[in-house]
Amino acid sequence: MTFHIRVADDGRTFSTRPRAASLGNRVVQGASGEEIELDFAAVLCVSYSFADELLAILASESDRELAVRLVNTSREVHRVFSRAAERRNIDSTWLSSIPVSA
Amino acid sequence: MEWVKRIGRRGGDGGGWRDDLPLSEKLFFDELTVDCSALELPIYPMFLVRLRVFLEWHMAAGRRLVLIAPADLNAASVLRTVASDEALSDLRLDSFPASGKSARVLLPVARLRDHHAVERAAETVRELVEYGQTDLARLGQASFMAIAELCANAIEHGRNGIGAFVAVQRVDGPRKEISVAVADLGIGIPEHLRQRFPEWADDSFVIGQAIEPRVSGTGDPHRGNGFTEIFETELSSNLHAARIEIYSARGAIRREMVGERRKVDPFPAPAFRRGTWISYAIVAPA
Repeated sequence: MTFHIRVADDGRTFSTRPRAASLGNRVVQGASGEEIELDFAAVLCVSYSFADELLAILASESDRELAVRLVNTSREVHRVFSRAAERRNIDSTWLSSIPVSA
Repeated sequence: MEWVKRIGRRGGDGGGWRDDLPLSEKLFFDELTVDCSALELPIYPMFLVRLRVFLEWHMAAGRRLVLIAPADLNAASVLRTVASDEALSDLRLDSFPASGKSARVLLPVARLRDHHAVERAAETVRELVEYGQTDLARLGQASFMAIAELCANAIEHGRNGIGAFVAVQRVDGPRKEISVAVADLGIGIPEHLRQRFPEWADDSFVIGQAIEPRVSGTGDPHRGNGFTEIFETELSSNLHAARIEIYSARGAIRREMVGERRKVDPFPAPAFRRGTWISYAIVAPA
């Protein structure tokens, strides 16, 4: 079963680490060994700090083998997440599941 | 006793003026008049932030404050926005237009108390740039990233009683640009980084290191990338040029990017500045 979260329900732009922590903790607490889909449709911008903090929280749960996918990211949102993942040396196979919309 | 502070013609990017009354005199005056009658456009947001901090500082000391408007009406409408915050509700305005709005001011000087304020500032400016300034719309993403990262730094590393401030304007010079000013009165970049790198003595050198990736005073190896990511966003945005000036303690640097070319210049600060003061300009293509 896929645990689906529409990120845009919380806003269309995300710029701070506390905001990422709030979303990340909601994902981690809500999921229990299933696939998690973070849907970024209609999200216009994320800051680097937001992306970095969110990836840090999700990566810290890797021992639970949560499968996280970021879907419907815009080109710019995808770019920022890719940079954050690169700097954190996050497994590229994990990131490769991020589909990009135009 | 009254003290009259006269401001010159220029409201420059570096602030352009300082509190030059001798300390011994400050103890005795109870009314401060800031005479801006000679001030002309362009007035940069850093000037407005410095003025706001100056006024709040003296207000906190219990002084009555008077602000005299520029003779130039356009300059007066920009300066009027400084007084739109309720924190300065006791400020007496002399010869100002009634309206506290100016089309040039995208974000009047705003105090940043928490991360919610950072979110609001970044989103407000992005929306105004992308939907309200059609000729600058392509700078929305770069504005968002800069405000988000610089303001978050200001409230995380600049904790103090007065707080942190942000202001954003469009400036129409030879080229059109979005000009962002972010300031805090906290520990400052040099002292913050010297907690981890005590051998870094020169303040300008330390600020230069702070804009390199992974250099942070927090000790977290994944932090310290905010400046780098602001610059990276420049590359992915369709802009003509960008420049950042950072003043902190006795150090200052200027970094400019035009196309693929980059130049970083450390230079001696004209005076000691408590906290960290950053001007960031994003220049639109012709």
